[in-house]
Amino acid sequence: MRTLDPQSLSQHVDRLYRAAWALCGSREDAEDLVQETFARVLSRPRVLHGDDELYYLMRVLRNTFLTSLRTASRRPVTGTDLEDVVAADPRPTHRPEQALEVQELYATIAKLPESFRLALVAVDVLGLSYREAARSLHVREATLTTRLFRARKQVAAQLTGDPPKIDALQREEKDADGVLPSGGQP
Amino acid sequence: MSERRPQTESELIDYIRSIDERAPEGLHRKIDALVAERATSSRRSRWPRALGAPSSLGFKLGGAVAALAVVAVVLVVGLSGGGAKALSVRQASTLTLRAATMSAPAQSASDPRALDVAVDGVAFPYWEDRFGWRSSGARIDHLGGRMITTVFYTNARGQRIGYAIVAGTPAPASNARPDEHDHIIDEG
Repeated sequence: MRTLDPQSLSQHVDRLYRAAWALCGSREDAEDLVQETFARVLSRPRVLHGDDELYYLMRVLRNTFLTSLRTASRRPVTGTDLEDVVAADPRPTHRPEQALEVQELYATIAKLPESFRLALVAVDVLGLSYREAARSLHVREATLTTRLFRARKQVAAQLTGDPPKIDALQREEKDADGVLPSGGQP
Repeated sequence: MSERRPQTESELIDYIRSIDERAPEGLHRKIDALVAERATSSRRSRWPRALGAPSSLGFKLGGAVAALAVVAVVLVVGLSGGGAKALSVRQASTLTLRAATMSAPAQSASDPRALDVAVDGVAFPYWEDRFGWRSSGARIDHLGGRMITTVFYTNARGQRIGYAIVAGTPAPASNARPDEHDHIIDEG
């Protein structure tokens, strides 16, 4: 058991930002989510029970993300004025062709069903082990593995121009607590 | 883009894991401010008792900010070496122009000429009664492995001074110069 050192958290900003971007699908929302996550973590001293900091941050990121989704769903929907429309991100990037792919990839991940998205973000974007990811998402490791397999399959299908139909996605999400289909890459 | 588009799940996983997109600088600064605030709030009760061990002071910096033209005046005392000097003038003076992230420190109960904040035994001065500059906020940053504590002072005309103390190792006696001034003017 040890106390979380606030100074050590700064090193995880980039990875957490990428995870948040893949969850939200937009850079602006990702920035807000990361800031809110760190504000929560730093609001009081935290004790880690032998856990990795990144695992702990993923847990808080997930909770913050789900809370923001619930809050947004309760908010009344209003029409959008022209001045509210956000222009394309003007920030320059080092490699334009890669930035385009990253944006497209994260937008594709963000369209996945919520449980698939969280699984893929925890393991592939954030780099947690299956065990850590399952614990941070409060699911069994087998469930996580299944969700991850289906999430990868769906993203690959979207990117290669063979997107599954919506009802198929919903059916897969319902079935995701079942057994991993054969051929799944761990 | 088509050349690099993943075609298989395996390529997709490799691609996702290879992305090293960095978070925007603005976000980094916000998180650093949150971390510094947290570190300070847990350290705040120790600030008045931090006086002592004055030989470990690296150097001292200060800056002044006017309403339109931004003027930073950097004062270096007890210089610890060439590399450290470069860090102090270029980077620490920039910090004195940034916004405060913490509340203003109060006057020290034990020393009426000092504030309740000290770095490695060197206290920040209390200037309100003598000069009309009251402390208005503070911030803590880390640069090059050094902790930089900045206290901001404001006068009745709304002008601001940023006064930074950089924690560091003591200067070797043979290399140390008594003091050094550096003036930076930045037309804001």
